[in-house]
Amino acid sequence: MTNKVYKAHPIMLFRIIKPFLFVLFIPLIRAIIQYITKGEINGLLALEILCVVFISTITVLRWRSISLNVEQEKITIKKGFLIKSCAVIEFSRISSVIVQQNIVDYVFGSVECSINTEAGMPKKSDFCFKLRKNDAKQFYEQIYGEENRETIKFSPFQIAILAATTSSAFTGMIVGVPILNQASDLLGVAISEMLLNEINHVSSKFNNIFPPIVNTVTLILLIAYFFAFMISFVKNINFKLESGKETAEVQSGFITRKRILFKKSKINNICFEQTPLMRVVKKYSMIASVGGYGNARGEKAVVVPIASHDELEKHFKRHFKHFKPHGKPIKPKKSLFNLNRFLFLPAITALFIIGVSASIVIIFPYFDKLTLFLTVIALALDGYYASVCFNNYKNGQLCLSDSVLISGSAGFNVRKLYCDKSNIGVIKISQTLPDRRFKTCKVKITVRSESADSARVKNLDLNTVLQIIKKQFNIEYDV
Amino acid sequence: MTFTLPKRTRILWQIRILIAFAALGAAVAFFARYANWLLFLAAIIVIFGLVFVITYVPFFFKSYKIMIDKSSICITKGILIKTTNIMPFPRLVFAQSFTTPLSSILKLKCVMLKAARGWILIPELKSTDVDYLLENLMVKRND
Repeated sequence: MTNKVYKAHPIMLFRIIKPFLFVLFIPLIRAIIQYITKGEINGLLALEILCVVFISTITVLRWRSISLNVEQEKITIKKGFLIKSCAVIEFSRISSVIVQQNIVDYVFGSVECSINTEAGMPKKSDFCFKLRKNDAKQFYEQIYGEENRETIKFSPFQIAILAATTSSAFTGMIVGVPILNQASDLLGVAISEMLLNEINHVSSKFNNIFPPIVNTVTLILLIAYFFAFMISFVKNINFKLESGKETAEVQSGFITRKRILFKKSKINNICFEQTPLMRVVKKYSMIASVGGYGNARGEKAVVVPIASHDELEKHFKRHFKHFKPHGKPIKPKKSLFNLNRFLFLPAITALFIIGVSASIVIIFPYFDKLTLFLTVIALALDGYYASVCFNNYKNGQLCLSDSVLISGSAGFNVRKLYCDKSNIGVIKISQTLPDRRFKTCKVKITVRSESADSARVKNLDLNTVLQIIKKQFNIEYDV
Repeated sequence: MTFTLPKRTRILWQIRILIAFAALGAAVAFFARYANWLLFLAAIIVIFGLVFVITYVPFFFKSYKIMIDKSSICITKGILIKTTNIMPFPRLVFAQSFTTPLSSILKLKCVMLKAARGWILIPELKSTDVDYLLENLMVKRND
């Protein structure tokens, strides 16, 4: 392999200067325009010019100092003008390379290239530069090599289902409210108030047994959910998976196009995940947890956005078969008694909800409609929880070999987790009083990774679990 | 293999700490126009800095021991509180060196060894030693 040195794209100058843009550069431009148009000189103009010249000089020197030197099996990253740093990273230690291109990058022919390792800070790339598009392509081909990859595309309809099943009103509000406020400030119009008035006006037209505040809140949540849906849809449109023997590449995005490259050996675990909304449409998504994934939330790469369980199994066998465990799985005993054990907690919760609601209605009769609304919501959630418990009874399993499979749930999500035995962080075996009586246990496996994915299975036979753990991990003492 | 920090590292840090205390003293003295007692405080800060640099800093840097064996690197330091940091080579992700204008005049570089969600900082060593360390850490990790 020939050594190659890559330099940062000139657009990196704007990235470095960004913190000073609104504080120095824009006031200076405004002062110069003022001088040209009105002939007035700002008293601080000389100082501003001096600061701008100083900052610009430092910026250019910092930009010039950035270099990526790709040598045999390692890269050397140099940067810094006053405080110079030099990092030496082996190819085998690189977790993933993310290449992003927004509209500005597209115009200037640059991309944002992020290099991630396991040593980086959570939710922050280790190294991030702007490179020329061709340079970035050559760079990741040097690291990951060129191999034939199978391309798997997903239709906009599938992406829409993914967006619909993974979006939440909470996310919509977190993202949407600041945008609304900033738009209001920019336009000098109270957009939030106008929107709220319109929502109140519309919700007052719905006559139902629930109080008007419920209609308003429901409408706000639906709008926030729709906003989150649109963001997720636009982010994931053009989703494409390219899978080779050793490497995988995930492409997505419409306005900002993103490519994530990683070696399959860097995957900590693969999850088949089913959120509550996905459960309604009986779909799953396949997610790979890649070590040191960078600035993505929770270091997860969506590998297959949405598919049925059988389709997902086909993709899994085809592209990640080395995660498939061997050996006989341990499953909860199939009996009516065991089913009742699984459904005991949801049943008790339902009775508790009804009891509390009845008490509130008796004590505070004025809030009967609101209480009824909240009770319906709580019972719906409990009903969903009961369906997850039933799924744990029907499909729960634990298979321990060189690869591990644990199929159960994590919170309100149904989850099937595959990982290499060496990636297991913690195995937690717990027993409640009924478990001790019936010699069963609950097993929770947590993967050794930043996102610490976990799954748990209940009501497995304790002796069988202990035997298999002792055998697989060569434990000599009695547990 | 055990090695200690070169004398130049101690001198470098003495200069840095002196500059820091002098800057702090100057900042406090600047405000003495509003309260005369601040001048006295500035003098105390500078004297404290001098005493700190002459007494504590040499002993602190003398306490540094860097041990490298087949499987790990171990750094021991401290006078009042002794600290030992051990990093097994398989956990090493990458190494990064830093140099400032002052340290480059003295031909010194410091090294940061990065592991998953953790790091060890080795204070300034000779530039040639740092380059040797960076090359050999990668070899030892692969062994």
